[in-house]
Amino acid sequence: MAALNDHAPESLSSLSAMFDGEANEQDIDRILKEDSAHITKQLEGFHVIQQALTKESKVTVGLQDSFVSSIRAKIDAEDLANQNDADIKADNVLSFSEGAQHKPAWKVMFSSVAVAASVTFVVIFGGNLFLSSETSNVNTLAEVSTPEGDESVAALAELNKEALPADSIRLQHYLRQHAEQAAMTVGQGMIPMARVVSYPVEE
Amino acid sequence: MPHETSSDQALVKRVQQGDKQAFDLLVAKYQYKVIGLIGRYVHDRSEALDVAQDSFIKAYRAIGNFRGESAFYTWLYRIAVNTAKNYLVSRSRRPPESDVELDNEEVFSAYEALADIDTPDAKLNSDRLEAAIHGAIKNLPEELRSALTLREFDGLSYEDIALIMSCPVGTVRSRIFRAREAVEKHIRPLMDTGE
Repeated sequence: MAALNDHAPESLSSLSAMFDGEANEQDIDRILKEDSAHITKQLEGFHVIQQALTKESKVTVGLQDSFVSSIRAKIDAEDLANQNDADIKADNVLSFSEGAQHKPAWKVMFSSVAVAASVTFVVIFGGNLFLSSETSNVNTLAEVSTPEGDESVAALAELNKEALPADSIRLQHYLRQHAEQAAMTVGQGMIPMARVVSYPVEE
Repeated sequence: MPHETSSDQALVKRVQQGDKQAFDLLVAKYQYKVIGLIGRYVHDRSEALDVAQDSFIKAYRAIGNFRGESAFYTWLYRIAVNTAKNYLVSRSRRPPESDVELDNEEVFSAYEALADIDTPDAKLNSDRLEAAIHGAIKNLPEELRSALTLREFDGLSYEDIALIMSCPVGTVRSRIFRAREAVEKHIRPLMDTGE
């Protein structure tokens, strides 16, 4: 690209205006078309002149385009790294979906049937297992909740009447008869009688 | 300065649209100011350049969020100060109690401190350069010299200079750039040897 001083006085005018914050869109377009190294060099000249005019101090030079280009290089490198990361992620997603697309139709159908059969088997087997375990639990509960040595009225009332053995029914008769006799002889016997009578026993 | 804001705003808008070259232009424009500003916190030249570089990269990454509620340089200034302070903290150094003012004079002084101006060669070159600039300005035609000094020394806008000089804004713009061009041509050999 041409140096600003040699071929592009309009660009220099635009750059000068930009340096002063007076550039318009057209100026910026013009500057951006120029070589950045030349622009930076020119801007350095403007800075030095400003430095000499704004204060009575030593003017300095030496940054040139290297500072601008090193920042640009870093930004580009970061962008490239980010782009590569994004590409790798996109590739992974693509290969998975592509793999599914390239499978033959019969394979897809077979695997679907296999999955459905497995699910059905698990549901039926699991259901049966659950039901059988529930029944056994009920039986165990009945056995445990029946007191072995103390056949009290409360325990009897909780049990299914059909399941009661004949001995137990007979025992109930004896207890009732005993209670009735006790009530006849002693006044206090009324209490056990009332307690026994309050529990209905089918014969 | 409203003009400065609108010019930078146009560049910022382009950067936001993905134009990296526009950002290069903003870096080229503000590199001296930012390095000088950071030089108030980080006194080593190479460290200050690294911190300035980080500041510009941070600004680039955050520029999408810049809404133009303040001037671009005010926003960039804040990023640079925070980056410099964080740098000092990360090196277990204490940042200064108060922030550096947004003031050109201080910034330029700091840039001089960073530029290793105390070496005899650098000092000699700087003296020559300054003398050449003042000599070149003295030799400019009156209207060019006036336009340039009103802009640089007094910091006036093109519009204000046009009012003072009783000429159109376009003429002011032309005079300023012609003045700069002439001075720059005169000092270029010295600048190139000073690198």
